[in-house]
Amino acid sequence: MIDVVSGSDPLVLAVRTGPLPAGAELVLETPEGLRIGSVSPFGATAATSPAEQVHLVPVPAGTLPDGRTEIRARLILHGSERAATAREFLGVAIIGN
Amino acid sequence: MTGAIPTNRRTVLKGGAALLAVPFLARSAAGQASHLRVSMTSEEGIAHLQTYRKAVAAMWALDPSDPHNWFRYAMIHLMDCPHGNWWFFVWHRPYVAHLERIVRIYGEDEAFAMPYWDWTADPFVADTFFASSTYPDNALDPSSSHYPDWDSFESAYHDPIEAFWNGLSDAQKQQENLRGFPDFDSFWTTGVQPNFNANPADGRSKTAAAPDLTPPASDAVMLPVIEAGLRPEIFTTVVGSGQARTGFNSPESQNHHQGVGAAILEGQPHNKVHNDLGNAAGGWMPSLLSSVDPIFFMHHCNVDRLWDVWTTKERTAGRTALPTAEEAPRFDPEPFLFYIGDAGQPAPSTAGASMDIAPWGYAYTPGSGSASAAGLQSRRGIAPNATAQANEGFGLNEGATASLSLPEGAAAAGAEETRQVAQVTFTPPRTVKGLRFDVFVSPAGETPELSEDSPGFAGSFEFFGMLHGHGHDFTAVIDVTDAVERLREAGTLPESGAIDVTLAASGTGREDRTLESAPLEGVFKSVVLESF
Repeated sequence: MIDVVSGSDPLVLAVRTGPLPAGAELVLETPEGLRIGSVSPFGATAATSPAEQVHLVPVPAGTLPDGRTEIRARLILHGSERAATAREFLGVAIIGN
Repeated sequence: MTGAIPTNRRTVLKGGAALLAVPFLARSAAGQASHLRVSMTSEEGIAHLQTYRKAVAAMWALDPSDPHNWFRYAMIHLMDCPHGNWWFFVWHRPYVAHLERIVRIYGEDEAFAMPYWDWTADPFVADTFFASSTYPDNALDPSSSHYPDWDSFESAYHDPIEAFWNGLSDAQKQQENLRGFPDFDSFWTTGVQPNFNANPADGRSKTAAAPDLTPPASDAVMLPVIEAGLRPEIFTTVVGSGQARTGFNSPESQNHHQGVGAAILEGQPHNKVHNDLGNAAGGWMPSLLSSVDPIFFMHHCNVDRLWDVWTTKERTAGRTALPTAEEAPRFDPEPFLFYIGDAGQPAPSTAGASMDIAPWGYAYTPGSGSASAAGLQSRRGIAPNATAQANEGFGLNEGATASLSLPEGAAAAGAEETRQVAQVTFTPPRTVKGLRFDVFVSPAGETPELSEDSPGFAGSFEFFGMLHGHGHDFTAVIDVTDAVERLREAGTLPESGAIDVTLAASGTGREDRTLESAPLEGVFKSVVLESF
């Protein structure tokens, strides 16, 4: 869940993930299916990826309604998609800009 | 939302270009840049790519034991590139800059400057990177004969690379151990082989018939994302409870092999363009051997350009654009031990040595995102940019207008002295199929004829694909110099330089059936006029 307060600047989300497979896209969206943004890892290897990473995703001002919003994540890999697991999508927060 | 291509740029590109005498700047006693990096779709950029093609072919022909062999140079990226940490920008700068100097040798052109791929303005792989009737075995195309399949590669390269590995210093081997390669066998089997594109036909997912970036990459290169990446005022993204702040750079890590996350520019346009140039079948760009695809260096040249844009913005505002005093002792000494110089010599360095472009002798022409910084500084003696808000609706054959004045000095100058570039920001209609967006310039107060035959017509652009329904603003870059010059020649350009910029939609003649039902109202938000 994130708490959105409207403003003129875009939001920046700090998305915490576990190691994601190469070529994957972690899509963030609301329960209603509004796509907010995505994380696309590059360059990570199993040897060099810690258990938790943080990726910044900009969200244009006005995209999300004010108030509390649930964020869900789907994983897309080579055309197939599924809900992200709890080890892949660890959470999201609005980060100071 | 997908990107738009100004037709004037695409026309220049598709028309091809004769090999031009590309000017480079005379080095001044003050040490100003000797080489100017330009967009790869500009006339000068296309000329530079001819040199680049020649050099890549020559480097592929070198023995695998030669550090300037094309694959050997690309292998540096596999062995040492940082991703997902705060050394991302600073490591890639020398990697691109050393190659720029090497290309001058093998391309036999001292004037060569690495062109940048401004994916915001040009969200497609340029024609030059594909085989053509003129260049059927184009060294810039990974499907050409220059690029071996796995069996041929292993036969020719295994032993020379093993010999190279056995000659690594203890310090270099320590770096490879941190990277997960404790010995040559692990490097070859878990590094080289999994990242090698085994079938040359799959070397790049884009084709001459379908060169455009697709979502999410086409979304990630749009100007609002770039500007979001340029907006931070600190170097490092700080994560963790209580003190989290967006920085320009990705978060700190313990060493440059560790991936801990990504800030906006690394994670969004950089990562997504890499991944979009490959697919399930393969491709070089999504892998750690991504620099085997020559377009890698144009891609990272733009990344480097945006870092320079941010640095300039910050220093103009009186900030250092550097790690903090507390961070610097951890950031600066990080060793980068695998670079190769233009004489084939090892060129080890540290992070703190490459925080500025000046020592490398190059500078950048303005590109997407430059206007975010340009308002804070004078540009080579031309007055600061002119900006104007419009916030007016436009539609099919119905224009919206913003009024502004040409930057001081630009009204009197001829086209050969200055270029006027407009960044037009607007909220597109809900669907853009079948629509073209036209930009006109007219004397202040005069309504232009909304036709591409009008003397005030400056240029137009079209979107490829469908909106995603987020209502993102979009900024298109249009060179309005010729339209301004026509006003000057007609004697209608006021001495004050006061002009109107008008945006209107027109039908392309394709998908006309969509025009009947789709709402066609957009909003012209603002225009920034930049002179350089």
